[in-house]
Amino acid sequence: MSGRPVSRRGFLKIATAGGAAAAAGSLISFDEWKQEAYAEDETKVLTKCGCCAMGCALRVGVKNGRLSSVEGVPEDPVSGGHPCARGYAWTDVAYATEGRVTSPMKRNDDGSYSEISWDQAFQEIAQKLHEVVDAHGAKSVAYCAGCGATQGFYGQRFINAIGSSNTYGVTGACKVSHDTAWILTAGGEPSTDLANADYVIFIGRSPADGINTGQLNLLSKKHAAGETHYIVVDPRLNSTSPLVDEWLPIKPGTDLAFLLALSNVVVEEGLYDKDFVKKHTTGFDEYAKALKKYTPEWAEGVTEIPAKTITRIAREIATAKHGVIEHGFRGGLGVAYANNIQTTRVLALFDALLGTYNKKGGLITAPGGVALGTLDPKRFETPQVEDNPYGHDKYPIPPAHEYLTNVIPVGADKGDLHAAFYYGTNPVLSHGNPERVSAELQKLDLLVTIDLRWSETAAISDYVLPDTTYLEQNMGVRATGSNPPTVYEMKQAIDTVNPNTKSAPDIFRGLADAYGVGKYFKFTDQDRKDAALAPLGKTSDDLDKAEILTFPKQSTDLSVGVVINTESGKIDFASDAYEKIGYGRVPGWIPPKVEPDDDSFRVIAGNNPNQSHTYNYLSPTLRQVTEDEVLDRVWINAAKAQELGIAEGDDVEIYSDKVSRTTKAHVTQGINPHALFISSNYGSHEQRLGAAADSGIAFMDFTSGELDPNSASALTQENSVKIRKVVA
Amino acid sequence: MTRYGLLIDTDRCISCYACRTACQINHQLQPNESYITFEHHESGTYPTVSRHTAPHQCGHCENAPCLSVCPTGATYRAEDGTVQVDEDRCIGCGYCAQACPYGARVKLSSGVLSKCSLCEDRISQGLEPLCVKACPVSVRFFGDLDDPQSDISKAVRDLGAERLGGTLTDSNLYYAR
Repeated sequence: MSGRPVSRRGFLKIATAGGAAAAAGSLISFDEWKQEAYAEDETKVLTKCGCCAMGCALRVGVKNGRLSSVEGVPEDPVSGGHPCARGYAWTDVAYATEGRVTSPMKRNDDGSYSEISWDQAFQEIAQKLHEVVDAHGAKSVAYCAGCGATQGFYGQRFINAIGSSNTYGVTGACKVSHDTAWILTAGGEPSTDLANADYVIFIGRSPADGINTGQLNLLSKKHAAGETHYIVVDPRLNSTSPLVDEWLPIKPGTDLAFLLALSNVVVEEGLYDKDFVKKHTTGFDEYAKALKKYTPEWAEGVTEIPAKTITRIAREIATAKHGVIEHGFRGGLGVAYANNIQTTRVLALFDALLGTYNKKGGLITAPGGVALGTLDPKRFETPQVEDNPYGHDKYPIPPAHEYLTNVIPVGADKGDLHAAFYYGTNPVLSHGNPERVSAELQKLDLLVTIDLRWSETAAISDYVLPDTTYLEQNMGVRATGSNPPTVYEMKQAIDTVNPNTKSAPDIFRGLADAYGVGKYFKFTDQDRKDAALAPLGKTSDDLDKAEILTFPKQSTDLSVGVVINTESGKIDFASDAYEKIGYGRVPGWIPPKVEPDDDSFRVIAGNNPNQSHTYNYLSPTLRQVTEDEVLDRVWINAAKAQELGIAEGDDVEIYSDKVSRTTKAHVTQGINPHALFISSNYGSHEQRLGAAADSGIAFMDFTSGELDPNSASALTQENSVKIRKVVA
Repeated sequence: MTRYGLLIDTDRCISCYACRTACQINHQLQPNESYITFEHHESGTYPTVSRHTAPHQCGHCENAPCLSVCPTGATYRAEDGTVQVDEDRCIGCGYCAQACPYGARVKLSSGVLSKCSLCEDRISQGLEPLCVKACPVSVRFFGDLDDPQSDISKAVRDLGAERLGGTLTDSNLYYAR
């Protein structure tokens, strides 16, 4: 017996397994079971939250096989021991009934679904996959694992095993333009030493909405101590605003103009870091010349931020002891506008003017964390596949596996891709214009969704395979990419709640066996654990004993020298690489592609602190928070609302010549008059979600089908709409 | 005797609801049964605007109307000075909910009129209530108001916090803004 309490279901399962179990010596007596089942003691299990990419460590309590408590883990540097609201609440998804897929489903010709056995699902999918590979080659098969995927490793290995390297994450759906610019400008996205920064401008970033609780705790304490000056640049008064000193309600899509003007002041007034510019950059004179026309007065007309404010802030940040710009994650820089690459480029260059790279309170380019090992190919047969992911030729700058998920629907449309597996993500609602993505994906010969829930994508899939929650599976060893780095094992906390769901390892092993590539999966959880720890010089026993291994804090003191990970080892103010892709040798102003006129608005989107993805809405507790706090309404500026006769809670229609959606209005002083804000976490109308459907509207409905030519971003905020009160 | 209290700095509350869900999940409450509710205030005119969030919950009043109207003694004052509910004695009459000027009583699906206990089991072991522990921006302060050196007493002084309802019920829930 393990130390884990056995639930009644677990007991019955063991009991009915009969002779086989008895022979294996695992049958327990009724008295033993009763003793365990009614034990007062709570077993504590360490795992990781499955709500978003942050993955805060959680210590969950289990009584009688059922979840009984949830706590943060103080040693976890990601959360500092403070998970967000989702960390606690989303655990109820394991027991939720509404919206869950609980058996393998097969789509019928009329669009309805029938339950099938796992065996039938594995056999039929394998058969169809063989047909696709025989007809079009393995390179016509693609796979994407989203933030809702429990263990992406298995799916990736399966796709590699059938001979395809088309495996993608979902970063392309949230920050690909932003990251593309960082790759070109500084060799990759740096982190920010907020612990030591004392003057920070947050652009395209709201730590309280795209919530990072470890960071928030730090910001809150520093703000309360009055040691800092924080500025948030955002068209809406976002949830971070209680922790900042100034809110600059910029006109949406114009962050680039604000940054050009800040740069203009710093250069014109000679406030830049001359030593850094001399040693670590090229092309300064050319850039300085180009910046001359981007005066604060010019920027005021574009951004609606007063020229004197821009001038003051430029002077303050340049002369502050540790001034820095904390750059976006998704926000308005990630995938929102056609000018995002240029905006992030100018942001990165502004930090170069300030000389913040690899200095105390500045940007850190050194990668953090420790690297875990992988299964040794000499001991475990490993798929060998040529690494040539679909889409890389067309979009060569962003690394394909991380960023190019958006090429899957396009490839389906072009007839290049014929089968796709989506795991823990809903591309139809979240990766681009829903109508386009849905139509394109329906051209595939085989579409399989693996998920906890129904979704718009599941509803057009040939097969839907039900995953278990992170609480119901051992998710292996994890290294946090934080400083100091920690390593721990995410253990199975509770028994499988829905008996006909399977964990990711079991699903992909089943598919691999049916397809005839099961030989690549001849390893155990223990093999993976040993392999993960090997390069760290640690054993499985070490980890079991310590529970959390903490490695030495990595030095950010770069007295050894400034490291810029570009080819030249410098930051290029003037760049041929950028010129080649149409952004000019030195950057200049590029307006958003779509400019709403005076009677129109731009729909912008973002997170709530308690919602980051549509799948968060599966949690009954989180749904109730949204309902109680009416978080799914569209924000409209109070003066604009008055002009249009719109009051709080009114039904409003948001419309363009292509689309019309109805929702309720939230009238607020806290938003730029050109913007309508919608939380990006709502708007699923897939009826199989039951109570988890029909909250709010989906902002993606307002995007065009176009993709950015260099990053394949879905240009999610290039839109123009009107709004009117719905009169009954 | 101790006088346990709670202080919330509404100036820095980011309205993230972590306190609410930490409380709900760890007390095994249904989604619509929350001991913590929220009030939002927006002030100013665009573009000079600020927002405050005031989380509400039981203030364990020294002069607790819910306690004096309870016909069965289900609502009682515990030895540590907090106001607690004996679920077995509650008949679900709802007088307490009528009497509480702050709407802090919550009717559970079991019929019991429950409320925040300040995590009685935790504070008896010297731990802070879960909502205080969960707050990612550290705007909640807990402790013995009669101990001038406690976290909460210091915070009351430093932040110039005020009692909810003034002298109405002598609530031990304090707000700073």
